[in-house]
Amino acid sequence: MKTIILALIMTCTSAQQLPTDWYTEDGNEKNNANLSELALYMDKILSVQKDVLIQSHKDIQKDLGEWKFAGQKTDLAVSKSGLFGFSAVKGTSAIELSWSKIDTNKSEEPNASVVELNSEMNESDVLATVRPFYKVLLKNNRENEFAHNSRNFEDHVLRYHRALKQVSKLNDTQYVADKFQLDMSVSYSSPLFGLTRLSGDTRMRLEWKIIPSSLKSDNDDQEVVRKILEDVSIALENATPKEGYKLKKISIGLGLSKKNLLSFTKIKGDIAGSLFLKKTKAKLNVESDFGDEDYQWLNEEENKFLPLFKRSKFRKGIKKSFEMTNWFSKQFKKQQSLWEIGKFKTSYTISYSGFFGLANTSSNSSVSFEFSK
Amino acid sequence: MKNSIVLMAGLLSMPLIQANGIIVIGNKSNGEEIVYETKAEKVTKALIEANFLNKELALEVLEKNSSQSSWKLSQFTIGLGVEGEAGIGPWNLGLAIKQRLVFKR
Repeated sequence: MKTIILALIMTCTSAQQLPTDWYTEDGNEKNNANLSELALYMDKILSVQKDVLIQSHKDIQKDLGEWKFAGQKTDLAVSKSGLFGFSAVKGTSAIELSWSKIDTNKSEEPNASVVELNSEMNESDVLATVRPFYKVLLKNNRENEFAHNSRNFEDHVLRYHRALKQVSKLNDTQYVADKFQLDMSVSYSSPLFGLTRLSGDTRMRLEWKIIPSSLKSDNDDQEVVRKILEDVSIALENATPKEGYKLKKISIGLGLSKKNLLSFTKIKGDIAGSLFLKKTKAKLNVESDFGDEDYQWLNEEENKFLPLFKRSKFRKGIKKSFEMTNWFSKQFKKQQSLWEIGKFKTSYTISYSGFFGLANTSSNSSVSFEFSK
Repeated sequence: MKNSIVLMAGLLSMPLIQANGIIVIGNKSNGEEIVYETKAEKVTKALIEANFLNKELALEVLEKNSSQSSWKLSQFTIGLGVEGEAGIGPWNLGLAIKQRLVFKR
């Protein structure tokens, strides 16, 4: 009886279920048996989105004057048990999709809220640049809150700035550190345009252009950044995006440890940054003496390092994530319509033990790939 | 046999995930996960309604922006899910699908 019921559950849920090694942070089982069913389910999800665009397009375009309806963005999510579906507003996205008309110009989207910095600026210039922006964000704070929050904000910004200043120049890697983004969010009761019910948070994005230092640091402050550049270069050496998409961005989530360095911590809370990598034309030098030291997880509460995960696992995880992203691109390519997915981003999380999986509702993303046509 | 009955009762008390359904996944305000299944036709209808409401809001915003601001807006994105009539799922769960419309000049 039990077997019959379990079989029934398996039959009913399999179409919405991801392979176990795609979502379980601690899982290392290979189970790709239901990929064909997942592809059918994926097709249904994409058909819904396409139908919505086709049916809404004329109505939305009406009365817009000089404006044009250019497309829609949707998100997909993964549950803790591996179910896959549409993402709700309060939820962690695993995949972000940007739909656009096939014939539209897919120029880079402007982002007006970015505050631009670079890693060579002096600290007073950094503060002078960010102050006007965070004052707007904190304008609803009471006087004592404002003093506390602005001190906390400036302390974080300067700590990140000092850490980014130390990123060393590496000659042997195919990927180099390009920029660092720090998103700040503050609960804000008076959002732009008065659309309170659509968005309760206001965000500010700080973006540092990284100018690698040619001075080799004597300490281990940039250990994690160096390891990431080496590992991503090795893991993606032969990786090629498929189905007409190109790899546009790779980002890795990094936090700050108490020792004032960029650290591969499990990122929680509002202040967390992403290191963006850029591919260079350099070929990977196989004779390079890349290290084999493992990564460390920092337990902030106890202020001590937890057991390590292996760099070999990290490299394997990056490679596997890239292949999973390619699987999704294949499903996106199948859709035939005037509307297409011009751009998408997949987000992955890493467990303490070093396994990779698509970000789910209980995790924050640590590694992201952005593909576009 | 007793175990089977308990298992069957448990199965009937949980929402049945059907092969033809679309899953919506989100969090309650306390962070607890919500998984809800609905029909593809229902999702399509709700998103079209959400697009209509978002378009009405977008028109207001674009009009305000054109007349009051000295900055020329080149792109505008609206809607992070519309709660209420156009949301998906039981209202007490607050499940509204994340969806944004993009407008360009």
